[in-house]
Amino acid sequence: MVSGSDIVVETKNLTKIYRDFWGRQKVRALKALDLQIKRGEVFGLLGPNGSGKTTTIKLLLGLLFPTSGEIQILGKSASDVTKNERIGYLPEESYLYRFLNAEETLDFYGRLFNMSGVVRRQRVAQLINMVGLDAARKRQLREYSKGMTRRIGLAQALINDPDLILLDEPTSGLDPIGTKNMKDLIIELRNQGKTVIMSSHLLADVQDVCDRVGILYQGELKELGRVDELLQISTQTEIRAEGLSDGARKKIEQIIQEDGAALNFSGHPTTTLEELFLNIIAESEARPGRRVRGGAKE
Amino acid sequence: MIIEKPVPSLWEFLFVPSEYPISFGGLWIVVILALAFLTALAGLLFSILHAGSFGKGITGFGSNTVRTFADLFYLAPSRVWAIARLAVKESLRRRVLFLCVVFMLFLMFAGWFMNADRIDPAKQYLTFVLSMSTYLILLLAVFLSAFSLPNEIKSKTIFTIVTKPVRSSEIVLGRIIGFTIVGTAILVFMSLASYAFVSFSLQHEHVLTMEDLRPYEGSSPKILDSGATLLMVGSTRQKNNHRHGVEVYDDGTVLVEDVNNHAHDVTVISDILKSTGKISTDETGGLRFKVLPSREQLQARVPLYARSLVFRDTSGTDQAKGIDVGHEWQYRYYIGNFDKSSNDAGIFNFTGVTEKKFSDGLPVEMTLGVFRTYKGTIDKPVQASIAVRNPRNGLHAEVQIFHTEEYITKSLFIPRKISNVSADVVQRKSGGLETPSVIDPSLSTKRDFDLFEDFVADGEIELWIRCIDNQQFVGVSQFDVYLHEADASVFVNFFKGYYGIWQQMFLLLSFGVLFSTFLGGPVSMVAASGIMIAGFCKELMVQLAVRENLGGGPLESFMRMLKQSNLMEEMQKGMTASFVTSADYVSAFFLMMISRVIPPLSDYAYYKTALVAGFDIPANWIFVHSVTTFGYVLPIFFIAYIILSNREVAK
Ligand SMILES: Nc1ncnc2c1ncn2[C@@H]1O[C@H](COP(=O)(O)OP(=O)(O)O)[C@@H](O)[C@H]1O
Ligand SMILES: [Mg+2]
Repeated sequence: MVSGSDIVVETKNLTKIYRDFWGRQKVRALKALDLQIKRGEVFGLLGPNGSGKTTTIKLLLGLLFPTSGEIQILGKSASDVTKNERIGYLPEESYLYRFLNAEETLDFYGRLFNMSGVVRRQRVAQLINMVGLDAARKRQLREYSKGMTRRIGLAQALINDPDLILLDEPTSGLDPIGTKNMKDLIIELRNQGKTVIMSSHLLADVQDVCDRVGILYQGELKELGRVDELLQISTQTEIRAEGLSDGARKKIEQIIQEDGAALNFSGHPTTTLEELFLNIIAESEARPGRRVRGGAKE
Repeated sequence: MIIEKPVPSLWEFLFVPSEYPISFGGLWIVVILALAFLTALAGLLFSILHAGSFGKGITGFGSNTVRTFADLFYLAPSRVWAIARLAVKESLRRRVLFLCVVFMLFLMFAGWFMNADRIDPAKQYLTFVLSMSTYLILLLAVFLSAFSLPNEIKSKTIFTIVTKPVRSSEIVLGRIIGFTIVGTAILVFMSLASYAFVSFSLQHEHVLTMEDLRPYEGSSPKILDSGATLLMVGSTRQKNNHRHGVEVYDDGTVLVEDVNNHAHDVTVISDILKSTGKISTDETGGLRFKVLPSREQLQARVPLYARSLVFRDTSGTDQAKGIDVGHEWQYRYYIGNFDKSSNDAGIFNFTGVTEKKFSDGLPVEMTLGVFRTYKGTIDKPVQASIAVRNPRNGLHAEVQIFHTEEYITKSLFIPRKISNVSADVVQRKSGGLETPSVIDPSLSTKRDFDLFEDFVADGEIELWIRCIDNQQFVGVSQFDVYLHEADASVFVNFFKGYYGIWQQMFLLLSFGVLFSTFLGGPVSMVAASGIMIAGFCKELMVQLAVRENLGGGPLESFMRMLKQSNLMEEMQKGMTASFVTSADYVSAFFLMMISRVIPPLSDYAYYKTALVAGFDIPANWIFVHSVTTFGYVLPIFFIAYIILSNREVAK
């Protein structure tokens, strides 16, 4: 167990039901989510479209109110505005003011943090440089490409040098180079000791940068654990040696056979997240309900 | 004349109950308490329903309430300013400045189509620019404020705002301030353009030729102090619905009569005059004149109204009300005919009449009503008289007889020296009391009087208006007769008038922002427009509510319509009647509540009325209305804040 102060985000039994105007239930978007996210880790929320990732992030930010359950974020309630002082948020799509240019955009958000003019100018220049928009700093956002919009969105999320960063589908719409840059940046943020929560439906992204992932499917948390542990196949053992003689190999095969185990040389030594993911979906379809698997629980 | 009831001082307005059993300040507190109670009740119910348990609901509500109030103290001006700046930029992006172009186009068209030759061009132009400015700016206010927040929610840009340490209060306040800045800028532009337009439109010259003049044929020659002798008299040609009388003197001096607050400079063009310095009338081809352009001056008269008006009835006793001739405006009462056997008069009690203010005498201006009991010649004016009386010793003298016509403002001057009049001492009787109790006949023995020495006592003087035409009536209200105390700056008055429009704009855009915190754009716009219409019809709503109008309340009126019964007829007694009456009573109560809360936009229209009629807008109004405006905007801001901070913006 980790000490309380090390937990940045904690949800208990977090549930969100979308209702229509008359209070009739429309969608159960999130069902009894229990999560703990520790300081300094990169946490990935993985799941197909419509699985409740965005809903979770919005609940954490107080953009939505939970139907039931509790949220502690940076030691505060999600409805507490002061928590935002130390949070950065990149929405699913960059919802920015299209009539402002890059500098004006960042200056505006800087003002919302009550930053002084000097600090603001410095920070704006630094961030524009970091996301590589120097050439387009004076252009209105309406003229930006998808990739540029994403980058200015990220710069906006980092304006206050936050401790906790929530990124909703950070790589969506980016080309391979953009994706690579984004991932490098997330790793860089982790190296600076920041906590990152990101959502994605792209498995490779999560696999590359996340320390831990939670897999959501239809609003339910199906898997939770360290990426390396999740990808381990506990029933299989891999032995890898160099310069092994044929005799020694025979002996090993023999020992395995004596043990009653099956020798299996084919396939990859570890599974991929993709396989895991498809397995989970197949399994939930076969046996609906919450899936609890040994090793997935902390 | 332009006002029907006195405008109280700020102090009276806030703390002294007058028309209603409660003063505005008191009413405000009651309404705020009621609103707070209703909001708290709604919040509590919602909280309990949402939490699913009574205890949790109450604690949730409690902490939420504490947070709501505590958060107000963290309101940061820099963040408010950031939001306000954004609102300004957003408005500019929506091309609101185009409205200035639209306004200029309107002025251009008006310039082409409006005719300065109609009656009272100044009034006509002022009414046009003020109405146009009002409509355009209120439309803008409603449009900008109603759509902005819903658009942000729709485009989800609000997500990046509310996930920063921004309070809902800052979002609401920033928006109100931002739109106010935009509206103010446009309004300043409109006021300057309007002022230029009105001034320009009133600019004119007249034609003056020898044909317009005739030789002066007075019995004695008229000679100026300079020694110049009057040669010709006449008047200019008509322009902008007026002409000026002119007097041409033999040294080339031309005196021009002041009409509508302006005169023109006229020079004589003549070779002989140039060489000899004298005009000769037998110059071949006649003289030619050059009339320089001038413009009709707008006015900003500062009136001194009577403190009270009492009616002296035929028997000579004071009454609060005069003769009610029925169908006329409620606020005016009538003075009956005065002759040997009747004492009828309307007595205006003035205070604050000092020698300093009126050193030359009293400039009296009045607009009296006329009621004829027989047709006569309809356009023949009715004869009336004005008298002064000393309220202490009763010394009374009739100073002037004049003709009065309905709707025409009459100017009289009571000079400082009142000579050659036969005065008397008149007693006033009211409630068994007689003032003065003892008559001193010696007062009226002389025939020449000084206004301030003989008739004014401690700044008080009475003006008596009498109708001296047989069987006719003259109608007066307290504000029909006033002393023209001073003239204020027309330019400043113009801006005061626009301040009235500004207040309406400020109020409406606050309402727009309020509605947009919980309604969609189009619905907010309709709601804010509804407030605008209701605000302009506030008086009607109050009338409905206090059931002053004939035919009863809404339901009763409806029943009467169904039954096609007469408005005056009593309703048949019975179940239906009592149900209808009590239902109307309840609806009247709600109407009353609602109508009290609706902003009195119609009150601000007085600014326009005053400006158009050429009156200085009193500072009192500005104070009272400013307080009223902020009295509305404060709770609006608060409610908008509460709604926005308890709303799921991502829904
Ligand atoms: N505002 C909303 N009203 C109703 N249903 C919604 C709303 N937003 C999301 N949903 C539904 O909730 C579920 C989860 O959505 P979301 O959290 O956006 O998924 P993800 O981000 O994982 O793609 C989906 O079924 C979606 O249709
Ligand atoms: Mg999503």
